Amino acid sequence: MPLLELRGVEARYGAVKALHGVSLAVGEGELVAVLGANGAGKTTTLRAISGTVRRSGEVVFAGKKLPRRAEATARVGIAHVPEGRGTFMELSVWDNLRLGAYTQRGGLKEDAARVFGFFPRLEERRAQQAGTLSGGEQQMLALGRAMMARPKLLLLDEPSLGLAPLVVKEIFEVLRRMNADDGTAVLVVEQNARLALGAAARAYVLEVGRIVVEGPSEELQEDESVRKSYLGY
Amino acid sequence: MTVLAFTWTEFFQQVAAGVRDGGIYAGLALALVLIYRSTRVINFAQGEMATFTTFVAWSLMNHGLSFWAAFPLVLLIAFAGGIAIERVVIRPVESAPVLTIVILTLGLALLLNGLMSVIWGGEEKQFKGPFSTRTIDVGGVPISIQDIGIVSVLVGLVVVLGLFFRYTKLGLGLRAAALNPASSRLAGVRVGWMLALGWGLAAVLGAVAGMMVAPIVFLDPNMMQTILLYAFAAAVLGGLDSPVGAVVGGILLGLTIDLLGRYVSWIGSTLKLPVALGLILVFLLVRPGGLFGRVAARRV
Repeated sequence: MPLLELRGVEARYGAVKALHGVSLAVGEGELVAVLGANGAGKTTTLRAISGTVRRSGEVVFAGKKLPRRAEATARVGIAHVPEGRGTFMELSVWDNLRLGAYTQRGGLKEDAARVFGFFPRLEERRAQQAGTLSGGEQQMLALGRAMMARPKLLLLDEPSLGLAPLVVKEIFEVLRRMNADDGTAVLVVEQNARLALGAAARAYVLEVGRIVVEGPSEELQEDESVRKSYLGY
Repeated sequence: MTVLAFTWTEFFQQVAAGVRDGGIYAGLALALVLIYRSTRVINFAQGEMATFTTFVAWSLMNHGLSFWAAFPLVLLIAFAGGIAIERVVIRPVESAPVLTIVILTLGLALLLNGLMSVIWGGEEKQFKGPFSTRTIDVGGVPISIQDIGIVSVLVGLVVVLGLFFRYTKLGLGLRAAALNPASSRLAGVRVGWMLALGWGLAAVLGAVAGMMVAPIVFLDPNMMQTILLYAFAAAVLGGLDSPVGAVVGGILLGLTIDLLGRYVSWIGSTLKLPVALGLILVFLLVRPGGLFGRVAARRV
């Protein structure tokens, strides 16, 4: 049984329907990508899972129906790094990490040490106001915050957005290690299809709120018609 | 108008009284800021809530409790009452425009005021404070024990609150919920409860301010109305977003108006409030965010 399963999930913003029955699955410890053009519903898919947009349809997580409120999804082990990263700009780097661990009891120091192991720059800046970090550092902090929650599933929205290629490489390397070493399942939304397919085992392609293609990353990469019509390279 | 001779002794006594008054404004200003920064609502019922809890203290003491026995009880009652008000009155209109909620707090103020008149009557009551009005010698200046006591209680309260916000998980959750509710929810913070908790803490601050000021003035349903105006002024002066600002603003305001009222003869006690507000107006033209109100630095 997969860790997360969506069956016929719909979501709307007011009168505008953004998802028209999305079904997808993420296995235990699996790294899965969601691809698609702007406005295809990638971000909304993540938001429907974490409960930050109203949804209908069935979502099962770890064998149970997933609650619909964001506070509650965080408490069952889902960490969502949203569009715009959700940094607490006015708080220090350290307080941001403490907030990441908000649902945890104990182990704060050890978990923080692990995050600082991945991102030494966050340790140097732990007392600094998070809003003064560079874009790359903020993305590291966002990932660090998610790590502090020891999630079973990480939802990650456009980690590469607006970042220099070197930083993107670093971020994806940490993502790969979180997935491989800790067995954290990851559902990552990316505009950059080549990058995402390089990291993910499987991928879904969304088009106007529907899944149009799905399969192992290698297959999608090799299928020329899929590449040309949906992935744009 | 007679001008009294200046003595340093009296000057320092005035400073002590100014700090004492300022401490009371600061307490109430801090209560306003706690609610404002998480909801953008100015709670016009803050004064009446404080007076109400002070009446509760008065009743408890009338039934034979000592001040210090009644004190923690009243704080508990205030805390529960603040939470109840948020859950029952504010929660149902949470997503309404801020102005709607502000007007609701005005209604709440009138309601509480009426309730107090019904329960305790409108006439002034003597409230026996915990501190003696005897003076003791502090570096050659006689200062009343009451002033020192009031300032100590308020300083203690502010320090405890500061530590709570800085070092506890709940305090962190409260700060986070005020700054970024959406992200807080994703981190697992129960934002709705944090708002209620904010009201509870604000009510506690108001109760302390009320019980500290009641022995100086008299206790009646309108006791906090002028003080609430000063607290507004203090909060705006410090920056409505900033708890530190509320405390500094309150003390600065208390000092300024007490000293102006004493030493500038045309101001006296009648023009203190308008002069204070005028000064703040001028100050805000130069620094619209207040002393400590600041916009977070952002880089993209």
